[in-house]
Amino acid sequence: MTREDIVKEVNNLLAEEFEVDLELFTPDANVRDTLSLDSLSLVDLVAIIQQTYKIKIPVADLKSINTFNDLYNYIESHLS
Amino acid sequence: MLLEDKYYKVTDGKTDGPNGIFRIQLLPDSDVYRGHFPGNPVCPGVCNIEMIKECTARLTGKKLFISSIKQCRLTAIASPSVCPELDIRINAQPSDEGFSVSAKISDAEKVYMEYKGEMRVL
Amino acid sequence: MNYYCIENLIPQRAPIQMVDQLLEVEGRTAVTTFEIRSGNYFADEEGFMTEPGLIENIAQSASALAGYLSREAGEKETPVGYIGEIKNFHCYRCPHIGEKVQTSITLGEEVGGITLVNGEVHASGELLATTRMKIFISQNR
Repeated sequence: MTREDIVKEVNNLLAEEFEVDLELFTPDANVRDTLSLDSLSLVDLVAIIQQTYKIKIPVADLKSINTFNDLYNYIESHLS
Repeated sequence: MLLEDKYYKVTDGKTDGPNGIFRIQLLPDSDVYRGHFPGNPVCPGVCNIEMIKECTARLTGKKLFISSIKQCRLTAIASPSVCPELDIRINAQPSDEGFSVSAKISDAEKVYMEYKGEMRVL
Repeated sequence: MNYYCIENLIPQRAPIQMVDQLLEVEGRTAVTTFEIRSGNYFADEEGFMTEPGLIENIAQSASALAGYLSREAGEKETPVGYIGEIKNFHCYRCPHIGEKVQTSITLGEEVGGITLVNGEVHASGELLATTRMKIFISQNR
């Protein structure tokens, strides 16, 4: 799975789940602000990434994921 | 109504077509707090959902049934001591099921619940 | 499966205790049973336990499973649980006084004290209600 595949798939997945326009998914945009996440919807983000890519995101790692670029990097580096 | 004058009472209500806003008072001696929770009275989220249903029945003049809830978010913990008085804002649009209802429970400081769902007329 | 009486698994008590027993625990899934008795807090004049009662039954069933798993892991206190969010709840009919409902629960991802829940209620072989839910489960009261 190339990085471009990950970027495209993550953007489509999250745009649909959180009903947000695709154009807002710029690499350095803040994930929480773009998806207007709070403690409740953060669970949906973690659940959908963990299920789609079969990876585990410990709560401690969440602090290091701020921009979409961080998210793509995290997925890419944790893909088995 | 199931919970009116048992869990809450309506002290004021204004309706304007599909919109309504009801000022309610939570009854601190309501029996429900005996078990939710012993020594730690907290409003059960489902009782606040029932309040929305009953205020919608009052607004529409129909006996209603909650056939589906698209999303109901409980954004803060409510209790008679934290928020003795609450405003319940309701918009009930006629739909093929009955009514598409969106509602919000709040007071001056906080929003406690946001609700979106369908209610069928019984 | 070890047996715990329901009072050791959930903090809710009468009149709003809406689960009698936790059965068939397997990993993060379980089934609970509950009999609709006259005087049920959410029963209407025609003797039906109304929709909020079904939602509370599902929420308490999830709390019972979470309580069981935490006891099995050696916790002494019963965790307190609040409903954080209800999503895609569907109710097809309400149970009547005298009916016994079986609620099947699956606990999903847990992030920062919030647990995803899937729940279904059956009675007399029929599907009564289904929903997804998020529950805040905190260990200390």
